[in-house]
Amino acid sequence: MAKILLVEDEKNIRTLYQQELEEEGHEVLCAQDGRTAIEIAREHQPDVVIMDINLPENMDGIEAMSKILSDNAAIPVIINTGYSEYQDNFMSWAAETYVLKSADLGPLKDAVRQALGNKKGVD
Amino acid sequence: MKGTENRPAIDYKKKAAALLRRHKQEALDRWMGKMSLLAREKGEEEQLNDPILMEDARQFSETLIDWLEGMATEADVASFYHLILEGRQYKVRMADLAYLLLELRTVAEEIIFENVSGELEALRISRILGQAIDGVLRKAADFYELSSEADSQVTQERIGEIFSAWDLERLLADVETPVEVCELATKKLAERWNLLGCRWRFYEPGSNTPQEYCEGARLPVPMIKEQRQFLSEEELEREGRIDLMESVRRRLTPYVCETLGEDDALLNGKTLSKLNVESLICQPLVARGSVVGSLLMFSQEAGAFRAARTRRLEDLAGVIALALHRTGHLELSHKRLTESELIARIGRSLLELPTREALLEGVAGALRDFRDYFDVSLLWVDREEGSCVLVAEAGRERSYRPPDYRQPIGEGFIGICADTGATIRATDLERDQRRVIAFPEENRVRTEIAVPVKRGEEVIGVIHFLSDREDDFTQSEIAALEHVAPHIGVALQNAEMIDQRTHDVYEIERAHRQLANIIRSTAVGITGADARGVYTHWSPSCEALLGYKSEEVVGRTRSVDFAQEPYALDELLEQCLRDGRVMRECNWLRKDGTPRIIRETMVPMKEEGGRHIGFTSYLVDVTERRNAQQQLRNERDTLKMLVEAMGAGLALFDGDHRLQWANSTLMKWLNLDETDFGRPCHEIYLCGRTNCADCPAVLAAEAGQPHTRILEITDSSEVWKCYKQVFTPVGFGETQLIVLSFDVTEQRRQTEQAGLISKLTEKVAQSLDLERVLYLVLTCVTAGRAIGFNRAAVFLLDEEESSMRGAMAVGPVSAEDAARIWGALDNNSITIDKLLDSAGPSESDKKLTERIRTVRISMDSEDNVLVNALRTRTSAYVGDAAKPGDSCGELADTLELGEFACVPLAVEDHLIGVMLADNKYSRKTIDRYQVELLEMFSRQASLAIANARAYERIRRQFEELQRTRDRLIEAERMASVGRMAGHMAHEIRNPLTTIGGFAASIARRHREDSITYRNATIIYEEVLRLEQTLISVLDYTRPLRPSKSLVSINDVVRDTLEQFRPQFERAGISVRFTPGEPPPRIMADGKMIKQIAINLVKNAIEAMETEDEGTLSIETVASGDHVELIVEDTGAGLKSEVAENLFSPYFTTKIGGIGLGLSVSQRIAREHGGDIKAESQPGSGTRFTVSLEIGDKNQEGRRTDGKDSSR
Repeated sequence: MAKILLVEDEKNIRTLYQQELEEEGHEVLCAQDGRTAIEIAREHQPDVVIMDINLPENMDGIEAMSKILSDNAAIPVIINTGYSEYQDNFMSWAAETYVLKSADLGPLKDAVRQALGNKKGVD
Repeated sequence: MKGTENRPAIDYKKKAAALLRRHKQEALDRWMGKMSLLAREKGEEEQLNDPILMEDARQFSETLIDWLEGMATEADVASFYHLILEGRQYKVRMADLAYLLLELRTVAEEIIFENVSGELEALRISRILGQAIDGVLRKAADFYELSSEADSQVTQERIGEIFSAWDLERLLADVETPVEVCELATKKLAERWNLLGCRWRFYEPGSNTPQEYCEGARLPVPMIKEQRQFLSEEELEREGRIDLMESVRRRLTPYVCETLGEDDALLNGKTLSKLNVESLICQPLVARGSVVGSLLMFSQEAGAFRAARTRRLEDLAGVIALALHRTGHLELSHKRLTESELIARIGRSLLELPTREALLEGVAGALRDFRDYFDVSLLWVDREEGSCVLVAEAGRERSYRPPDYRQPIGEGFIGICADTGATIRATDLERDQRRVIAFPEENRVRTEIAVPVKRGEEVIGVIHFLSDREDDFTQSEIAALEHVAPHIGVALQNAEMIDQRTHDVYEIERAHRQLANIIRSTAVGITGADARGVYTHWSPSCEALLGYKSEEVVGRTRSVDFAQEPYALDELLEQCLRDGRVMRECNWLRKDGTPRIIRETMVPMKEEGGRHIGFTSYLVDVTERRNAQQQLRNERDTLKMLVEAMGAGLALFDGDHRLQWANSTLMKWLNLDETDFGRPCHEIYLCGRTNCADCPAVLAAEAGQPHTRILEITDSSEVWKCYKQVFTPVGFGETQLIVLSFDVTEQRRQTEQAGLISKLTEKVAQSLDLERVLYLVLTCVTAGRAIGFNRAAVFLLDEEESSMRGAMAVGPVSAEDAARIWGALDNNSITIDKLLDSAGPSESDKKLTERIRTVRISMDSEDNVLVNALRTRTSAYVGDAAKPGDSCGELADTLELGEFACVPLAVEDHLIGVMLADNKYSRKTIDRYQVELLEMFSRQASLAIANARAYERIRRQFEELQRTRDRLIEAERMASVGRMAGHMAHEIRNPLTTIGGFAASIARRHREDSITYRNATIIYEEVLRLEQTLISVLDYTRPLRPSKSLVSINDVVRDTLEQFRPQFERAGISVRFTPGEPPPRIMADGKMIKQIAINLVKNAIEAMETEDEGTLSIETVASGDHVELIVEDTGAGLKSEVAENLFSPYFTTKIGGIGLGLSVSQRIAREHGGDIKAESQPGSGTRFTVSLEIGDKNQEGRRTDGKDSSR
């Protein structure tokens, strides 16, 4: 049982992920944009963050991730995006992992499981 | 003395001196005799016994001789004074001395005339002598005057007489005609004795016909003009009258009448008394022993001719006689000159006129022109008919008489002349009863003469002259005409005879020539010799010619004394006997030592029985003529040189347009010789005509209009020449043509070359096609017979500059071919323009081109003429390619080369090739013009070829660029499609994720056998496939960022093969993997390398999918600093257009594929310092070779690679 922050501007994907992850038994917090995500992260201290890159309100997922990580560097952030070209950079952005959006949610669930397993035990 | 007279005068002086010296004793003796006579006359004989005086006289004589030799100096003159002083001492008076001198002169003259054969020469010598003595006397007189000798009145008078004689002599020295002598002498004599007048009667040398002249300032005109009728002696006797002048002449003694009474016996006595003549004296005029005439002086003063006053009149008479004698001869020679002028004219007409009629007309014309007579008629005497028949007439305006005009013998001047054989001169035609008027215009005539033409004594014809001038026909004129008449007779006879006999122009001409020679020879010496050549006869004219008297020659062997060089007499005589005649010119010496050129015509003499008895020779002095001829020749040579120096060809054509003469320049140009004389103009100039009658040049010139034309000829040795010719008419009787030719070949050649070049340039400018350019250039080089070659070829250097290859040739392939082509050119059916405009090479050109295209000349063959020509960039000329030494390689055989020229083709530093040309078929020697032409064209050709080549290169590059651009446009198009696809991929990924995600979610919530599960699963799988497609699109557009680590290629291959195992099995593909040993390891991005492997294997499977079975062979090989991955299939292989675009992005032959696989693989390989190459043969599979750089293993881990560093 883990607390997952899902940052996703697209409502349908948010719904899909929420359903799937809640089915897995996780508590899913949703944010539609970066600022909301940062606030929720501060407030609820999620176990893992699933972050889209393309976000509205002048703050993309990378910036949001760096703010969240600057608040709490221990939170694993999974980049989940349709852009494969950023894949090579995700390390430098200090993201936990980088998962391409796909109908196959297997890799994402694996990544969440792995992140939770690898979670740095700061607390 | 003037310069011009200097030389001959000295010559004569020396002669005079030599003569006197030779005859010194004789002169002295004679002189002494005269002195004695004088002394006795004066009763002063004692002087003769004075030995000193005699010695002085002798010395004086010698001094005189020295003086004459031109050695007179002041010293001599001084000695002369001395002599005179001496004379004074011995009481020699001036008068005596003067007389002494005068006598000495007389003596000297006698001796001169006795010893000098030529009259003129003697006269000259005597004149020199006179001048010398004159000078001496003048000195003496001066001297005497100074010494103021007081002499008696008588002495003074005598001196006066003597000096007046000298004066007169000096005055008369310059007079040229006898009449002038009379005039001048009358004046002087009249002054001296106060005469009313003088009547002169004198005889022309060698003539008995007297001429009379009357002169006197106060005489009435009729008396002077009176034409004397001379009465014969019988007539005089019958009338009881005396011809005083004639009797004086006969008796050689003067007649003096102190007071003239009524003496009827004296001829003209009445006239004289009417003139109040009181006294007269008649004096014979004697010069050098012969009587030249007589002089009658008359005065209105009684006793004017007293003995005391006229004592020395004889001296004066002698001086005058001498002058008359001299001028008589002068006039005679003048007349001879006139005669020879006339003869020359007639001779010329004789020579020039070919037919009898023309000849006679010519003779008549020449006679008429002689003194511009009104009319001249030639008539034959026809004794049978008793009339004179007109044969030719030349009137000033036309022929006046009817052509068949006849005049009876005995009637009119013509008839009378024919009858009597004497020349008739009629001056008073109005009243002359003998006159017959034959035509109306004859009324204009004022004087006429009829001259008989005689053969022997028989009158065979009459020449009738009419003049419209009063008192025309002088004595000398008549004499000249009379002299010519017999020649004309002979000429006419000859002409008639020859005309009748043969009509052969040549014969006539020859006869005329001979005749002219005879006519011209004024003095012919005749010698006779016996059979051994010993002189038996020596005519007086021979003496005149050679100075030897008959007695000096006759009896001696021929010629030995005259010949300057010895000669073989026997041979000469033999030759004469054999040939019947010998004609030769000899350099003989006169007796006085002067060289003469004598023409000897020797014929054998035979008795009536035919026995040979000797030789007769006719000797003619041709020295003057030869000299004149020499001078003429010199002048002609000068003229000739001038004509030659003009550098022009000159020719003269007669009225039938036949060559008469040509200068050596023209003969050389046209290769003419003597045998070409007489050939018609068109055969000389080879103008292409067959006759000259309608030749525009000839027609124009004959119409009097100079005509200029350009003549182009190709001579027998195929050398083309061009002449500018000017036809100019010249009228020498018939119209003749002078044709002046200038060689303008060079100019024309240049013009033609310039024309060709400009044509070529123009044509070449229209074409950048190399083949076309080559054809144009070669056509120009072989164009026309004027400057063109027979064949020409171009060899071009290949791009590597390693060898030259035959590119194109133009020309005939065989001699027959050549004849056909040139035939067409000659007919002008093909012009250079046509050739240049034609589509291209002819059949023969193509054949020749084909032949030379087989030729390859390596640039390494250093001996090759063509290679050398190109390397050194200089023209080459080869005399004979077949000859060893000039290496032309296989070319010599291919083109059957003999003589040829070769020029390099190059532009600036860029070598292009060579052009080669020859005259194989015309065999014309290649001259400098042709080589120049070739060089000129080579420059044009080089530029044109370079241009054409540059154009070709640009064209190829342009096409390449075009292709590249098309590809780029395509690629760009595809790339933008790719970018759009990428963008769309993102746009559709989210919905796909949602669709697929929910589909999977739905499926999960249903049983597996439910329709919903199945359908949702289908949606889910389709979405996954779409996602895969999107990934490939995005992969390509995503920049590569390889993360390199040490990768084992073998492992990559094995992983890949493992991955595809199910597919292999499904497609029945057997796999053969040959891993490289030791296992190649490279620094690379493992995932990327694997991507390559996957792509290639996928391709191979797809290539072999349609086959029943296939083999995939994979091999890894380490090669240097690269590792090669070779993937080979046994599929259908690639089509060429497929192979070309194999690595282009989005290129695919697969249905449903988007064609990024190989393109991505190539990008990856290049990113790894390598490449992919595909080799394919349609039907036998494809082989891909991927080469990858091994790379520096130390670089491992350098790269910021989060993944690795996190491990």
